[in-house]
Amino acid sequence: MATYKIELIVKPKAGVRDPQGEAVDGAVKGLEVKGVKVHQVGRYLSMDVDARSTDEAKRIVDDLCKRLLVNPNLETYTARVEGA
Amino acid sequence: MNPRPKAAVIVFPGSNGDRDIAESFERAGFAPVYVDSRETAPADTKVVGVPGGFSYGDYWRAGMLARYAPAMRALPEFVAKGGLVIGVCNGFQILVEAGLLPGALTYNNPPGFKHKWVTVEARETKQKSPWLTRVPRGMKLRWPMAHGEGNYYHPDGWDAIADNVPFVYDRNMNGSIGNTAAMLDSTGRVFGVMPHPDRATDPHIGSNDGALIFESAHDAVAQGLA
Repeated sequence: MATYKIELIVKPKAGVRDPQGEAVDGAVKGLEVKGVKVHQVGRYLSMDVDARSTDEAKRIVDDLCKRLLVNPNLETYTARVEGA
Repeated sequence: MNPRPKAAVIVFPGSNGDRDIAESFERAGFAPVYVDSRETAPADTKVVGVPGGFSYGDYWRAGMLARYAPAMRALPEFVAKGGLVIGVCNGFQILVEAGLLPGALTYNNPPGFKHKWVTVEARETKQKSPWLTRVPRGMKLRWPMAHGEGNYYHPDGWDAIADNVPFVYDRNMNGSIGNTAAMLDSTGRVFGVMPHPDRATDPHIGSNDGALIFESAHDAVAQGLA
């Protein structure tokens, strides 16, 4: 059994409006900074996962995303396993 | 004389509309009890209210952390046995997160917290609901809204939900598809609503239009339908 460090990023799914991203983009434009376009606002989570392998760690994270952390109607995610 | 039927109001950390629902139940003839979200409603409960507020501070995603509370885990069986559930505002978000209602609720579009009196219009739904027997189709009701994440979304669009939408705003308030203001499950016993009928059950503070919802539920219980 090893402990894997996971970084999870959850972001709005393509095609779903992202009012947070649009609002932040508007604020950036209000600073009169040229040449910057904010794409999306999402969420970040770091965690330790005890598992026997990288694949098992990923499976545990996928299950957590499915059951709790990601709303598939609105969001998509990527999970990075440190050292994988 | 029959005792007043019991109405349980689930209280989460961060709920702030629990008293509004409890008082609305009481005015309609129920005996309301507050139930800590870590516990489950008493066995003789007839209706359950999931209140508005900011359960768990709306951390991560509104309603997400509340959905697995013991009081919530008990709801699918409660509904299967004929129990009635209303979720208002954050309560609606929690019911959606829990999978008791379809779709999703996300950030208002245009962005921001919005609070004002709104007019909703009643629609015909495929499944008759015990929450709505006193509300004829086409009736216009005034309720207050107060939310930042009331934008109703369904990945399959309006056609997928139209049969289950009992109320629409008279104009788009928050980006919701089809101006959706409320939702029923396939049984009609689970009712989620984004504006607050529970804050419109006292004519002295603006409107009594919300009372029809709670009185409808009381009718159903009194007639042995729930």
